[in-house]
Amino acid sequence: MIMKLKLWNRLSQFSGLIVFNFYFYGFYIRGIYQGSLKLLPCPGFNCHSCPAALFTCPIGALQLIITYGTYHIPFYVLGFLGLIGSCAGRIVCGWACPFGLLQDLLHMIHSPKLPVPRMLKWLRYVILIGLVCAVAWITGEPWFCKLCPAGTLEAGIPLTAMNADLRELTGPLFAVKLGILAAFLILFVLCKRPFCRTVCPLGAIYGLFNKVSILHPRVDKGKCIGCNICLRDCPVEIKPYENDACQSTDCIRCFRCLKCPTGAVSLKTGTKR
Amino acid sequence: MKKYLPAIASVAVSAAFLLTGIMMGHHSMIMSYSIIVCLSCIGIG
Repeated sequence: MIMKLKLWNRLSQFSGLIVFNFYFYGFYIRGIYQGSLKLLPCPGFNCHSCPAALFTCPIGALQLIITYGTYHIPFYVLGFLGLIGSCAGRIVCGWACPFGLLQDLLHMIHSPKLPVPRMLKWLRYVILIGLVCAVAWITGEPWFCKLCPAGTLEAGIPLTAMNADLRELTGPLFAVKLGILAAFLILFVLCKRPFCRTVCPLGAIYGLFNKVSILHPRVDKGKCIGCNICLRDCPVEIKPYENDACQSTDCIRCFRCLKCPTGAVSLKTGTKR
Repeated sequence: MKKYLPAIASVAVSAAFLLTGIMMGHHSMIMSYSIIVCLSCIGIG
């Protein structure tokens, strides 16, 4: 059953990649999709300037409204993300995010593996409040997009490879972006989900809903024998048996901890009390 | 039922945010922004 869950998880991640990037024609026309689906923010972390992208990048949209929107409050994007988060917290991170899939796949490469310091989890909130909100509002520029490794991978590299005009316009910022992407690609091999755990502002927003979300794993401490099998398979290295770890902002709801041999972890609905 | 109250409240607030955003025209702002290639995403500028 658990093997099947893992298989479904991977299939779902690939489905997310394809559904969010179904406009393959974009590679042929060397441009991007301009249809009405761009009204919707993408639930996962996916750059809208990717030639195949069907939806808007939620973080790009957030910065746009903060910079130019009425009252500078991104009601539409926060409402959209809140609806998903209220149902299952960070489930998109675990089951549909294309950038999460890339991290999972690269981490399968044999190499020495490093832990991610737990303190760094707060960095994503610094990035969300500082870079995505404050810097965008003060400077009027989407600075997160300017540094985003997903944008480089999904938009920068393909579009500059296909368009000589765009290639000529690239400068130092493009080089910086390539450097950031290269650093993250190496980290993806060495660490489990380093971007999701330390940088991703989208994961930071979804994580806030983990405490109230309808669907979540729960641990029966009476049944837990401390074998750590759940920890070994957890993509974000949390210990589900520790105080409300599955309700913390870190859990990406992949449900791999359900493989517990004593059945201590189960899927529940509603909040604790 | 009580255990679902936080989630229901969160859904209600999110829905209110979404509708407010739509009434303020955020969706069309986002659309007109995202149909143009983002030079920042590419690394130009």
